[in-house]
Amino acid sequence: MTATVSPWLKAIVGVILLIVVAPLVVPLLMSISDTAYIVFPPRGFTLKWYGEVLANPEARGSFLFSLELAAIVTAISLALGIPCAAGLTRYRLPGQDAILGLILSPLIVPLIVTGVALLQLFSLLGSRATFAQLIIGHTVICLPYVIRSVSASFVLVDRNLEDAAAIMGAPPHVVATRVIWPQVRPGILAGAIFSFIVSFDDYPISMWLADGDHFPVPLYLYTVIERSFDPSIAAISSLMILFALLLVLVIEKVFGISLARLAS
Amino acid sequence: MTALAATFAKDPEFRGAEVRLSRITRRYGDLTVVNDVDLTASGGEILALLGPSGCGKTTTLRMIAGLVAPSSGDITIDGRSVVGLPVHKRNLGMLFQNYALFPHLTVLENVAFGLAMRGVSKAETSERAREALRLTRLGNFEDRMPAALSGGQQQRVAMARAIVYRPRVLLLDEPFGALDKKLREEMQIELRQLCNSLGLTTILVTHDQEEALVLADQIAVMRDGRIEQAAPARTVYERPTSRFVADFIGTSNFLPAVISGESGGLTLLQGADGRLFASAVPNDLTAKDAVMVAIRPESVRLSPGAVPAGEANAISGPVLRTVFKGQLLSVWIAMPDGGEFVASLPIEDTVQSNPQPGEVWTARWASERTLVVRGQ
Repeated sequence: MTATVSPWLKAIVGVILLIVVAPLVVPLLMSISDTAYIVFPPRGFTLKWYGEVLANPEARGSFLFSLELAAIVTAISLALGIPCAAGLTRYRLPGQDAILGLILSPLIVPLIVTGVALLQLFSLLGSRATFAQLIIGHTVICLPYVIRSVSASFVLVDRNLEDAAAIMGAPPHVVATRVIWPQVRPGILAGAIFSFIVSFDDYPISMWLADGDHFPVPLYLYTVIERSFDPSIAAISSLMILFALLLVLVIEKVFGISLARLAS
Repeated sequence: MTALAATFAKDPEFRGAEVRLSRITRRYGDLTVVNDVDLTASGGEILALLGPSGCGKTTTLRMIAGLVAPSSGDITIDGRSVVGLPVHKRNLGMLFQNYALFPHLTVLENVAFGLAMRGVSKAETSERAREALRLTRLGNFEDRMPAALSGGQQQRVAMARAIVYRPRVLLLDEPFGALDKKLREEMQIELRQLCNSLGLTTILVTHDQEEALVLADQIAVMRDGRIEQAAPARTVYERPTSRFVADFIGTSNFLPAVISGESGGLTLLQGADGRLFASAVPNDLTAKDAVMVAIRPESVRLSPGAVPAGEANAISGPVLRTVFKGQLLSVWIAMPDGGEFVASLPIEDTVQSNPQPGEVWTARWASERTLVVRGQ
């Protein structure tokens, strides 16, 4: 691209980047402040708040629990979402639009409402299986992300390539692994990342369904904020931000797929 | 290239398979897309399915490929029915309109795909894939990605990929549609040589009559799901049996007429305004059939002046306009009934006498060039 970019466009992009990135930088800076309370700009430099958080068994337990939950939810969302997306895009089914609307509806209904509804449902059923309830609740909100990004990649699959492969002697399972999979892989990975992060960051669903033994990081963070106001809150926030960043970088390195390209 | 083709076709026993369609029909709901088609492509022959869009030619090809199942009828390849045999077990090659190259594989990997599916060893696969690429004059492009190639080069990769495992039948679905005219003509000649030297049975779908004439030994003209005429390419051009075929392949002047008799191998016909026609081209039509006389513009000789009364195979009238087309000059003559009659003169013939608009000229043609076709 050799076209000159208008200075106005540059300015607008700059402002947008600032609005998006600045709030993420603030907790990072606050977390290294050598003060007994949160202050911005930070005073001094220390990593003791990170040490404190990481040494805290409650914080560690919440973090590990959130990881476990997000991993299970992502696995289930992919297992349900990939066939669903494939079916909705590759075949004409009666009531197709209604099915898609239903699946995507958790994106539209406020999460807090979905959470209350699930809580009522589970209590009606007399369920006490908190872990299973959290998995179901998170899957309900993660599945739309998986289906959306996987559908988008299935729509772009060139059916001629499948025909060509079959004619050259590829049986259906080989067509699936060697022709369809390379085309939908970016969409599936994007869906997996979204699902993992949505589950890992979720507060409004977990708020209704969690209990003391199943306590995700966002809830833990909230209780800490209620109790105290030292920079360890910023340290927890920073860890969550860095973790998400790390996840994206690892995916880029391992799979050679840039999120920027997926989004385009 | 022929020498390479010879080394490529190491198996001297190799022959393309005979493909036979018997009473093939395909319905989609109430819509009959292919209707009771009988068709044979002999071993090593190039057959073109020619027709306008929606005539069922692509569906027919896809049924041979196994991508669409026939509603009824039978398809045999070398005498063995393939109805119900999955696509990947039919041992066919196919060229697609958009080439359908795998974008995530290199040129060599694309070409090697069919061999890998046949369990050919790695060493032999890469040797044969390279050979196929040399055959299609793409030897230096092995490691490129398809997106980095021009349309003509992609077409060649697709060709190499389709023939590398030596399928018994090659199917082509409008393979040159995306290429410009000059490149298309080159590729057509190249493909024809390749198919002939490899002895492949080739079935081609096209809406381009010129492409069918250049490539095919046999042409089957399709219309509304049926075969309108199937015959050697030249016969379809020189002896169309229906107005549709005469109109679709080449251009023709159509003049309504009724068969009035037969004399010395000539079919005699009477047209409007007392016009007389005599045709030496065999036909199986009778006085009861609705027929047309069809005259190709290039069969016509022009001379100045009006036609004497009672002369057969001639028409005269004032010149309406002339259009210069390079090798040809097209001349439109107004007929008494208001219609137009077009003649094409080789440009050399116009040096001496050049028809001018307004002048009365006469068009004459031989009885060997007087086509009698079914149709209104």
